[in-house]
Amino acid sequence: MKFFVANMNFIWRLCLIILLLLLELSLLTFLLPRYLVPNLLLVSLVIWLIILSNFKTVLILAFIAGLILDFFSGLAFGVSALSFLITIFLLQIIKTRFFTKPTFWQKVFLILAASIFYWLFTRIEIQFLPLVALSDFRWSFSWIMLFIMIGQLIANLIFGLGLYFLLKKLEKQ
Amino acid sequence: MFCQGLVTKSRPRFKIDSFKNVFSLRKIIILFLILVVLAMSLMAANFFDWLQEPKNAFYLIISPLQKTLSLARLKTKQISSFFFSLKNIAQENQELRIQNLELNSQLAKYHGLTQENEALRQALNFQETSAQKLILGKIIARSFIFNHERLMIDKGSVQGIQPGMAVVVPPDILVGQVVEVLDNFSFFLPLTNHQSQIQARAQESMAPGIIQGENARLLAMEMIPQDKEVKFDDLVVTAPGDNMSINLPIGHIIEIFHSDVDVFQKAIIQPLADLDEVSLVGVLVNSGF
Repeated sequence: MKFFVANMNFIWRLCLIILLLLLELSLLTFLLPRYLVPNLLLVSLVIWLIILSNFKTVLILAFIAGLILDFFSGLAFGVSALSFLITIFLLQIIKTRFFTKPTFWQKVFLILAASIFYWLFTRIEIQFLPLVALSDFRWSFSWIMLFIMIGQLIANLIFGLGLYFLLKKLEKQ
Repeated sequence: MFCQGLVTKSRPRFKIDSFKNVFSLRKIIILFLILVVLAMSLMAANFFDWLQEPKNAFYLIISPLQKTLSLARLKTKQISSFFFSLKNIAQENQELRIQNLELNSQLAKYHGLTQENEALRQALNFQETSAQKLILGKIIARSFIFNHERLMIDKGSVQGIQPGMAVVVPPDILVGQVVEVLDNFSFFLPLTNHQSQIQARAQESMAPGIIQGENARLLAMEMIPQDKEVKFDDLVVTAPGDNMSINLPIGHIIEIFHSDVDVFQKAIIQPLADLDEVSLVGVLVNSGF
């Protein structure tokens, strides 16, 4: 019981991760065109990275969020977890080196960078990790895919900024 | 360095804080490396198929929530489509009447052919060899990574589903193929996915080809031999393949690409069923299973 009380914030965030994922995969992917479906987990992690001072919590949350996403993604288990970990780690380095208190445009930059890092590392893992190669995923570039990626960047940005200002407002109240 | 709260502000505390920083940084790097190794171990476990049971257990735990969200999605879709369709309802009604007449005419021809077929079967003493049953399942999740799309249904190997089986919109319109099966859940690739490949043929011209996803809405029939004449509006059905039933309707040919310099022809197919509009699909399972 003491453990749960002490880690209430962490457990609350974990539940939120599962809820966001289900919201994305069971609702948004059906209701919105695929190029407008934001990556809710990734964006939430970036916002927590901006808001929370404890980086270790964000790192563990990133790992768990990636694992939960892997249950559904169709990629080999662990791919999204590894991509999330590396993405969040790099963003933390950028944040501490350049944006100790991010301005609006720096937050925009962090959300966009997270989306691009995530795609990049997932792509690298699929290409170079032999354990992942057996997945039913094969890479093929097309203009439609580029269009989808740009759409998702915008969707991530809108959701990310919305979530950030909502959390800030809740914090003030 | 990594924790904002530990950034030094005054000179006397610098040594202590920088020591803390280094210590904290080291701890963070160790944690990061442990998690990276853990992720890679999980990849290895997945590679050897050791995670089937935990995956199934996870899906069982969260499936009630998924089903609730699916229901909410259906209600939202129904309400929005009702308002959007009000405008076009008269025109659609007229089109449906014409389509109904055409279908009645086709049905009459079909009955004639069925009787003829039955007579021929009896004459040749044919037996029904591959009776199949339809396992109905709800679509409970859909994921996109890049241009890779997968859908999840709430039926699995316990019900007799196996990889490679046909996923249809009842009664028999093909919409995808099963790629991964757990005890109580399975995943399928829709035909519109770029990775999906189904052997098919045009029903009238008998031209064979391979069906692949062209974009989110249309399919492409590739590898059609040059010597086969492909007809506009011809119905495309499945051809014999691994675990795949034959003669399942897929869609109509709406565009043909033919060039004398190419080795093969290509056709664009308009699928008969739209996965966005359905929440229930069937998997064709051999009844002997």
